[in-house]
Formats: sequence, structure tokens, C-alpha cells
Amino acid sequence: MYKYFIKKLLYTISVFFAGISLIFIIIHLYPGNPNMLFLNPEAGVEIQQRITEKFGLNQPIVFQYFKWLYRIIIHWDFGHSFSTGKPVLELMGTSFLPSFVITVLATILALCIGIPAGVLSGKFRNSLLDRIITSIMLFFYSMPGFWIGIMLLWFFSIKTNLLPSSNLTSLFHHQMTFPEQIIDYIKHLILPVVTIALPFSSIFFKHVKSKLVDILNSDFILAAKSRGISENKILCVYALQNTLLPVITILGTTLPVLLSGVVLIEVIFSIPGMGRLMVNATMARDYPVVLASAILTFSFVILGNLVADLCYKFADPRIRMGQENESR
Amino acid sequence: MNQDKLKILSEFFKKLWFNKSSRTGFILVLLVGLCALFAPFITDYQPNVQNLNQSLQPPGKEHLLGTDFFGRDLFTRIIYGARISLGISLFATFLSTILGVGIGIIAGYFGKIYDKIAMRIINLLLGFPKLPVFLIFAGLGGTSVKTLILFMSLFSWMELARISRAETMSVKTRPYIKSAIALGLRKRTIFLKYIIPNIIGPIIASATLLISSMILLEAALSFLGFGVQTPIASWGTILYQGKSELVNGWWISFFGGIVIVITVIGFNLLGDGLRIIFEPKSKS
Repeated sequence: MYKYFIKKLLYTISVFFAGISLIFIIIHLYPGNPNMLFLNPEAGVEIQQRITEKFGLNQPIVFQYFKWLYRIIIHWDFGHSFSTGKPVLELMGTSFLPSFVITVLATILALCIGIPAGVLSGKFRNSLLDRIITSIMLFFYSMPGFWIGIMLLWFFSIKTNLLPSSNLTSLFHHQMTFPEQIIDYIKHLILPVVTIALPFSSIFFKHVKSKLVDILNSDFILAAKSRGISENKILCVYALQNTLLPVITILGTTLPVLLSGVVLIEVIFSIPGMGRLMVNATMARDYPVVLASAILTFSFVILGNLVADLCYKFADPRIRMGQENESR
Repeated sequence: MNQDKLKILSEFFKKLWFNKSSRTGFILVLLVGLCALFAPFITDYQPNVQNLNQSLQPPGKEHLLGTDFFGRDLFTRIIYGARISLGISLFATFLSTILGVGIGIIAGYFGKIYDKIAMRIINLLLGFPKLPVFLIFAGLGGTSVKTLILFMSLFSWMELARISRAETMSVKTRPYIKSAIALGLRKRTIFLKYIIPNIIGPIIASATLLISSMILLEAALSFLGFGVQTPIASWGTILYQGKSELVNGWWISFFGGIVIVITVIGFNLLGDGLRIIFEPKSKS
């Protein structure tokens, strides 16, 4: 276990470096002078030169790369935003929390929808219930996640005015009492969380259903049946245990999909999170912010994968050490 | 020889047709495809001609699915948009299939260090959230359809590479490959004539499924305003526009999304059906 952990950690660190190096390479391989991309083309030659020098863009690329890495790792310094002048880390600090909360809540909701649906569908295979659930889930799987967000927004905020359409807090949030504030948060979170969770739940549904069908057809279930163990006990104790464990790894591997969804949803519901920060920064060509948030998102993904792997390993001792590369 | 091929093909279509879900998928895809192909014959309107007298008309007799803010017929825009959206998705799928199959075969056939490097790259790229990475691209050089297709294919070939790698590894041990090697055939001949024809089934199935995720990706990127740019009608730009007209014209967003859902369901069902046909194991 200890050895496995160290190995996994080393692997994760190497992936992290490969990833951020790739981001750096993409930026520098891009045609055109990097400083020209973010400058007003009408700026004078002198200003251009000053900026080139200020950001060290006249130095050799290898040197720039190590300087960039050094700053990030040693000083945890991602530079300053071009458009607001604030340190990037400060901007990201305020926008990280909403995204994180939404991601976690949406994952929980997706699990709460996807797993029971998958179990029901797998248990009563080829019944009417199975067909209905499978059709709904195929619909969720095939729709653009942001589209259902727009339709929910239209129905609940514009048509019936039940839920707020944007932001995380009401205008008079700070004047409310504490319980009211909590309710206010919840009201603002419902639509974004549901929007992310619906398409996401279909991924869990697919895996849980196919796995459960596999297991219910396997020999040890037949053996349990022949011993006269009740159907419910077989399902709850023998089958579910083996079905739900792989969900942990799916959680890890679908994290990138989830984060892409969060970006879209934050734009639709105007939530001041990482996604909207990134989109706005991209539109304003605020390059340090884009870069830093890409790195942070990437780190979040590989950290999530590491945790999922370790949890899975912890939960299922059958997975042999060193086999994790082949199995993925 | 030709007779044999015809027989295989007809058998294949029979299988496709007898499976209910793959038949549904096939019909949906065909329907959308034909609409896109014959767009000028289906509708009398032009996708980009504005008519402000007809601004934001709800769905009705004259305009089947209503009009948008500029009075353009939504149905027309959707079927002309299908040309752009499907075109981009198909082309990007084509590119990433070539890339993925190439890398997969090389990794699977040569093994060892090639395999290790390829798998590392695949795992690395699978960890990248697509949208944030695309935002870097967009932030660097602005966007065009070319960047869009390039990006979509560069970040989507991994699944195909994994499948063709695994298939190549199992095909590699068969006697006919060994005899081809013994005959001293060139590597290119072995790849093109002996390996690819024997692994093409799962690749086609997986590429069909990839088309649907490409459609969703194009819609998402154009929706954010970074993909296809607005006067051109694509499904993403229709949704982009629909969002700003949500209060006065819900139908723009609604039908713009429904058409994506129908198409993606079509490709998903078709892909699943193909997978069942090509992998008899998963039928049970």
C-alpha cells in the first residue's frame, strides 16, 4: 500500500509537469509573437519593446520556461492580471469556491440519480420500467448539458419566476438573517447544480447498469440463488457491492467532462466562478489569468484522479499493484 | 469476389435493420443528413436574409419553427446550420480517426517503448478538460473554423487510439499476420492490407459515437462564442443567439437544442448498434 502510494504520487507529479509543460509549449508554438497577441496593434514600437522586456519575452524559450516554472513552484506566483492588475491568485481564490461547491453538489446529485436508476434498470431488465429509464437516460446522455440549463432557466426563472436566474446571492443578501441567507444560497444553486447533474447522471447510469447486468449473470450469483438466498439479499449484498466499487474510478475519469460542464453552466447562470473567470479572461485576452486557471483546472483533475485511484485501491484490495497503467 | 462483398454488405444492413435501436438511429441520422444535403429544396427562405417585419414570430403556419430577432426563418437556419455543424463534426471525426488509428496501430504493433509513450500521451490528454484548454487556444489567437476543427480533432483521438491499439494487439498474434511478416511484406502493406481491414469494425462503431460528442463539442464552443461566428448559422450559434432572445423567443433555444438531441441520439444508437454487430461477444 505504502509503495503503491509513493509510486502513484510520483506518476501524478510527472503527469502534472508534462501537462503544464504542454500548456507552455502550445502557447509558444502558436504562430506570432506572444506579446503581439495581447497588445493593441496600434501601440507604438517603443511600448511594444518595453512590454517585451518587462515580460522577459526576448529571452530564450528554455530560459523563459524554467523561469516560469520556478515562479510557479517556488513563489506560487502566477503573475498579475492584464486587465485588472490584481494578482492572479487573488482573483482565482474568490472564484474557486463557487465552482468547487457546485462541482461537489452536482456530483452527489448525479450519483443519487444515476445509481438508483441504473440498479432499477439492471434489476428489471427488459421490463417497461427499464425501457422508460433507459430512454430518459439516453436523452440526458445525448443533449447538450448547457441546453437543458437554458430551458430550465426559461421555465423556472422567466416563465414562472420561481428561482433566480443568475449569480449566487440576491441583491440584498447581506441584509438578510442567517437562515434566510442559507435559503438564498440554496435557491441560487438549484438550477446550476441540476443542470450539471442531469447529463452527468447518465454516465453513471450506463456504467452501473451494464456492470450490474454482467454481475447478475455471473456464476457466484447463480450459486447464491441455488442456495436459496433471497433475491433482495443477493442484489443488496452480493451484486451491489461489486457494482458500485468501479463507480469510484469513473468519478475520477469523468472529472474533465464535469469541469467543462461547469464552465458552460457558470456562463449561462452568471456565476462568479472559475469558468466565467476563464471565459471573460479569454475574451479580454487576459493571458496570465487564462494560463493560471488552466493549470489549476488541470491540477484539480489529476488530483481527483489520484484520490479516486487511491480510494478504489483501498476499497478493493483485488487490484494488483502496478497494474493500474494497463487497466486504464 | 465482388459478389462476396455484396453479400457481406447486404448481411450487414440486414443486421443493422433488424436491431430496433440501430434502425432508429440509422433513420434519424439519414433524416438529418438528407435535410442538410437538400436544404435549398426543402425551404423557400434563405438562412441569412433578414426581414425585420417578421421579427420573433412564434412557430406557426408561415414559419414552421418561428423566426429569430432578425426575422430569419428558424427552420431554414437549423437545416442550413446542419450543414455547418455536421460538416465540422464529420471532418473533425475523420481527422481524429486517422490520428487515433495511426497511433493505436503503431503502439499496438510495435509495443515496448512506442506503446509506453503512446499510452502516457493518451492518459495525459484524457486528463485535460476540453473547454478550458480550448479557451487557451481561443485566448491566444482568436478563433476560426480551422482552429476549431484542429482543436476538436487533436483532443478527441484518444479513445480511437485505445481501441485500435487493443485490437491490433490481438490481431497481431494471428497466423495470417505472422505469415505476412514471414513473406517479407512491407510494414505499410501489413498495416493497410492485413491489420486495418480486420480491426475496421470496432473503429467504425467508435468513430460513429465520436461524431455525436463532436456535435456536442461544436455546439458548446460556438455557444460560448469561440467557435463558428454569428452570422453563419450553426447549431451552436443558433443556441448562442437563442440565449439572448430567451425572454421573447423561447422557441429559438428550444428547437435549436432539440435538433441537436435528435441527431446525437441518432448517432449514439447507430454507434451502439454497430458495436453490437461488430462485437458478437457483447450481444449476450
